Amino acid sequence: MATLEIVNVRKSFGSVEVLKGIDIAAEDGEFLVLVGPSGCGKSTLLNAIAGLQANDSGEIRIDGRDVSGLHPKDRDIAMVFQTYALYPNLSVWENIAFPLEARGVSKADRRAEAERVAELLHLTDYLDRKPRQLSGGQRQRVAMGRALVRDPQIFLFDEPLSNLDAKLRVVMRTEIKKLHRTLGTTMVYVTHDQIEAMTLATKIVVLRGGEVQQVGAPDDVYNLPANMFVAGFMGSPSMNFMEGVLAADAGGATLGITRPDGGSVSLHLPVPDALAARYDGKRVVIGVRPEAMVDAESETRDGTYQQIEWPLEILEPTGADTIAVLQSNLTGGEEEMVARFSARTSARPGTVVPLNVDTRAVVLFDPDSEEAIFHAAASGSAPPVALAVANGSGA
Amino acid sequence: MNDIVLGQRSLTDRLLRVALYGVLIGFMLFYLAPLYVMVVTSVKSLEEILAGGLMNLPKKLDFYGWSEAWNNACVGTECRGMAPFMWNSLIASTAATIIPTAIGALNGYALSLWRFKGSELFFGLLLFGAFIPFQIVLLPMASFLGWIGWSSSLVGLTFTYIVYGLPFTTLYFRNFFVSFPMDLVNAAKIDGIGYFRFFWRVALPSSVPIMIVSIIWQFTNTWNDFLFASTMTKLESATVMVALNNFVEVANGVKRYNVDMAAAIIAGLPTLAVYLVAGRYFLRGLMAGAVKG
Ligand SMILES: Nc1ncnc2c1ncn2[C@@H]1O[C@H](COP(=O)(O)OP(=O)(O)OP(=O)(O)O)[C@@H](O)[C@H]1O
Ligand SMILES: [Mg+2]
Repeated sequence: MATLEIVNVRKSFGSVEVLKGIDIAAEDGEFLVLVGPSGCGKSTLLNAIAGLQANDSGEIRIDGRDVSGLHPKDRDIAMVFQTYALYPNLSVWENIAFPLEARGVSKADRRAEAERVAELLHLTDYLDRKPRQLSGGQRQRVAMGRALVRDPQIFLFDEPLSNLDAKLRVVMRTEIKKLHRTLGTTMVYVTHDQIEAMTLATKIVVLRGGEVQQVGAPDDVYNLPANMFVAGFMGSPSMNFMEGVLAADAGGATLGITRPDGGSVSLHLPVPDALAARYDGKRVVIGVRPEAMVDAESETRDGTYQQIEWPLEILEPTGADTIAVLQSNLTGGEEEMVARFSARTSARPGTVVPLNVDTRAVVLFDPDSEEAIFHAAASGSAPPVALAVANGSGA
Repeated sequence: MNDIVLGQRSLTDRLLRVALYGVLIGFMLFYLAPLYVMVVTSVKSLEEILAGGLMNLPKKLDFYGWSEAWNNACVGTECRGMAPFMWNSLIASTAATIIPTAIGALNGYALSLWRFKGSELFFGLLLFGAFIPFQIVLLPMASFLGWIGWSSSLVGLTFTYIVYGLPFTTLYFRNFFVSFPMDLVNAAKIDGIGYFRFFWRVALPSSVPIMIVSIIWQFTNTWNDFLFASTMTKLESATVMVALNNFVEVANGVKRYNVDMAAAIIAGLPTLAVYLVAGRYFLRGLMAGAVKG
């Protein structure tokens, strides 16, 4: 068990800077999830923590000790690779116990350890098979077994579930979460799947182009996104964006929105006076989660919902509810918006339908900087902590 | 209408196939003809050979040629048969197969999976060795062997084979290991598994196909070598290829074709045996090494 601090880590490949000064801190027992689009530097950062690749500058501290100059084997970490990296010619139990072989553990003890770990991962029946005789999920568990047998200070996972089918992914996700609960060891987990990030993490780090966009608890990253990128990346379907013009008035401001079909609607928002004054008459982008945008028939708690009318394009019934696809009014974008309608909605595609918008959950963004300027969920208070952190390290 | 088109196509298809097999069989006969002549000639009596009919089957099997070649063939004035020279060849080729394959495996492993600063340059220089024509190094090598006291000896010849085999075996193993998943090495590094343990327990057992290629390559090349063997050995240390040349040349009077052919077949049997045992893996390994390199 250990803490992990990453301090201003930079890494370039040739002239391309892949990590642009990363700062992250993880407490003892943290489940830290690094999430971001493909190519944003997640694996590079993980390799730097593991010591497989030297970073150009900055420090990586495990339990307060800078390990930057240490060989991977001296960092007391274990890693599960996306490809599983099983030794093809060794049997399952030899794969699991191979790290112990290098430590001079006797064969009988190695076998016993492998059996103990296999029990934990439901691999007991497969101990004498070769990796090629296993299914994807079983291979993945062998890879985890090899990490577990070490009992390291920190576990590193590089997209361990991305080669599994959707159903198995959910199962293994739960297994990993249970494992973390049982062991309580610090884990760093890389994924580009935001659902994995939300369900597993105690702390999420959103990366983009080698920069940290936001660090925070899953709830905070979801409800209080620091900018439009985070808001759009976390959540599925992703957050809806609409453009409008703010007008200060009593008790906040009114956002006037021009619809793609030319009509106009408005929402009253409880923004602080200072903000309303600053953006009075200016363009802003409002972000609304699909689940905060429902049809008129859905049950809505009074007071927080405001009704607007918007043209409906398509309805996609999913059984439990119906996904309504709407056209966004973002300039130049053919972007779509998605609302969650009830399963028995009477709304007809091709018409203008009433929508109830939950204004407690909306976020306002500056259209130029794309930074969040107002989170309704933070009840109109000053910018939340998460935002301040992201701003501090972003520039 | 569709049917007619299909019918025509399948007719031309069939004709093409017949033509293809015809050509292939033709080539096969062309290649096998010399072997056939060798085999039938080696079991004919001298009278029957001189009577003509090169392609005819023997009227009566006669193993005089084989026993004469094995027991009494002469090099110079000595007529001790082929056995001592076969033995020389076997020693030289076996050593020149095992040693460069072992070292080449370690080299290739280091140059692909545990690269160090300058390893690419090192590999480049080593490759250079594979492309120098042997004729160029013949004299320098001979005088070097003389200098260290190994001239005209089997040890010197074997040493030469080992040195000139290394670039090839290294190249094979390097190209094989280059396509080895790097994550395996990374996992080993993190888990504290060292260079030699990984080589011995994981890399080497996975490299059997390319090992077979290396073995066949080294064995057949050194066994069949004439250039080095004829310049670097003397009578007692001659390999079977040098000896074979002498058997054929030394004969005065009537040429005993049956003895010559039998000797040639005997000299070629070991490489044939290696192919039969390992050939199945040969193509597979060659592909793996070449395509993914
Ligand atoms: N060895 C390397 N040499 C040059 N560029 C590299 C190297 N490794 C990674 N990169 C580049 O660095 C960037 C980040 O790569 P990285 O593998 O960290 O992305 P990632 O976030 O893990 O993406 P993914 O989700 O696809 O795995 C990419 O643009 C990649 O092309
Ligand atoms: Mg990656």
